[in-house]
Amino acid sequence: MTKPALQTNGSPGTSDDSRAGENLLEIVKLEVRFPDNTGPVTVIDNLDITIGHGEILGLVGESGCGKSMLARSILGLVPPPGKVTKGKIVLDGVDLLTTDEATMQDIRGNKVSIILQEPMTSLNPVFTIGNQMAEVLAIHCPDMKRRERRARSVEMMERIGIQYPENRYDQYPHELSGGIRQRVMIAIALICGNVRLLVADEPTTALDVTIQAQILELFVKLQAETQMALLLITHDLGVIAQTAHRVAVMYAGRLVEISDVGRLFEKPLHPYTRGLMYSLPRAGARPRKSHMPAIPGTVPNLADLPPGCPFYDRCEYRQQQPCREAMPQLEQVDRGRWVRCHRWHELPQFEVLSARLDRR
Amino acid sequence: MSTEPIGTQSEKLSPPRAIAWHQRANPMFVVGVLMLTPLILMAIMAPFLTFLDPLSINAPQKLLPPSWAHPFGTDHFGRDVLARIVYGSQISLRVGIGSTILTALFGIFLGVASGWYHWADAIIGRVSDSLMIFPGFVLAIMIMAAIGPSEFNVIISVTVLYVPRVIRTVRASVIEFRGAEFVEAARTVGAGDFRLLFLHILPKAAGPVMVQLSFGFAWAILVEAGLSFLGLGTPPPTPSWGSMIADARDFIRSAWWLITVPGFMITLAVLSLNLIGDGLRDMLDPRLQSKGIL
Repeated sequence: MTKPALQTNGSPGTSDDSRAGENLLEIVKLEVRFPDNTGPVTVIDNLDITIGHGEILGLVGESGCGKSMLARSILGLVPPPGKVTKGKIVLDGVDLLTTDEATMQDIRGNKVSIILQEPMTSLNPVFTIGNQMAEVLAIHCPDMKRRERRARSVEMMERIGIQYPENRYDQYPHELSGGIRQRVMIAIALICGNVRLLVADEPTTALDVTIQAQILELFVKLQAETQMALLLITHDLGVIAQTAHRVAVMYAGRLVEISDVGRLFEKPLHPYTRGLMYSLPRAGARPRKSHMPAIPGTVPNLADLPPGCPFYDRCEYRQQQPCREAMPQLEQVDRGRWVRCHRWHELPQFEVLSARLDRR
Repeated sequence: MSTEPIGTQSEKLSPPRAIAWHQRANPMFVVGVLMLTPLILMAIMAPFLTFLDPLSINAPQKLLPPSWAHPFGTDHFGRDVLARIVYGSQISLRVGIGSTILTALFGIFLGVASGWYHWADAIIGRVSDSLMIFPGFVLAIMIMAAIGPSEFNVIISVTVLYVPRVIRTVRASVIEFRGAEFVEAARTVGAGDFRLLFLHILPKAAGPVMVQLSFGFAWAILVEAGLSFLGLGTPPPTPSWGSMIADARDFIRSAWWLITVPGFMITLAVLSLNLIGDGLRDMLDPRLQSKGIL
């Protein structure tokens, strides 16, 4: 068994030399489980991560590796029968997991907001979009008068770059395009004006590429304006490269690598991260073979994880010893850099690999 | 206006669209409303439609055929049938409206509870299942026999009978939409259970519930007439359409107007409400185009 790495520099996921109290959100040893016929399935396992004030943290990973579940745990909305079974989620010194439901309702949409993947279905089809923005104000600012709510909603739409907000206010979701609906979702998430943490769960997946770019720009702009922290969940490393300060890579419910954006792209350590980077379509790579490079196989079934490293079956660098035998621990490589791999220091240089990719 | 992009023109925004009236009014609905309106007016304007007392007995005038003085003739006590029909419509509508309101209240609350909370579903579901086992009218007779004949008790027994159907309708909608993306999204901005249920989910159930209630209304009128026919509904001498038919049985050969007029009125009321219900269903759900009778 590999010993757990000595944690000299804060907990994993902490940005460079952070001190206690400097972080907005600290997730400590989080475990989320779903009951199953054969016993509980652990979808998030022993996960530590922090987000600093005003930081954009990118969270990457394939479908089914626990990204969305992490987002939902932060809001206390793990879909039943799933449950957070262990750990702490501390926001501004308050553990959200021990907070009662009424207080959580005050926090949701107010201090912490989430933007869901599907702008097409996340809006209630029977109400106008203005109505749905004003509703958030009705929940969180009950003293506000109807007319003030309307004015605030219109102002918010303007800020978010929706043209003709006065007219849009009275339109129904089905009358709007996907891009505008996603903007409305963002407006709904931020309308209270107190948001400290915005969780964006694949906010651009359902949109076409030009709109994606616009929405990402909007996130960056709003983040700069409000100084909120942003947890940007995506499976697109390109999105991360453009926007995030720091990146966490998840695989099979575990963090496998944490780094700042610069160093991650310069030198990805975990084989999975490398795989993700190979899979990025690149201009100029000119692959001879007609297929795109991809990581072979799929995410293992969480209900039936083999012993050892969960990435073993798909890993290019696997070795019976020690990979098959023990679950690697998250090791600290450098300041703010952590990786969960037995062999990270033995792996060939990434640059060499990218050369090999070009040769091929 | 010319600077505005397509799709934001104000005329597109003007009509109230809380409920999607996708089509022009359905013909069944229109005919139903046209048939029901005179009945409602009749109940409201009763004192102006007839100056005769529906209760005053006038033995010498008994069993008179229709004439100018008595357009629908008189019954075996010499009471004016028109006056009794007119005042009888008040009872039918009172029972109908009363039980519809009660059914709606209980049905919506219990339906929402049983769709949302599993523990409530276990209780409410079993109770409403066991109510639905009995043939409706038999159960109504049992209830009336237990609590005694009166107009209010008729309302109660109709409500007890009809509430399970509304509960099921509401419950189905709640279950359909409780996992919907937009409900989840509302939850993420801090909406509590109450808001989610009554503001986000219930509007989606409004259509089917309205349809159910309009059938329930018709059914209430029918049950009231049936119970009164059996002497378990509105006690005499109050002029209920059902008890009028019961009284008229003995004179079916000698005084045809006694049984036909109330019979016709009951048919008219029930038919009009069923047409309204069918019409509403087709209007609220464009996917469901039944081949109605019209």
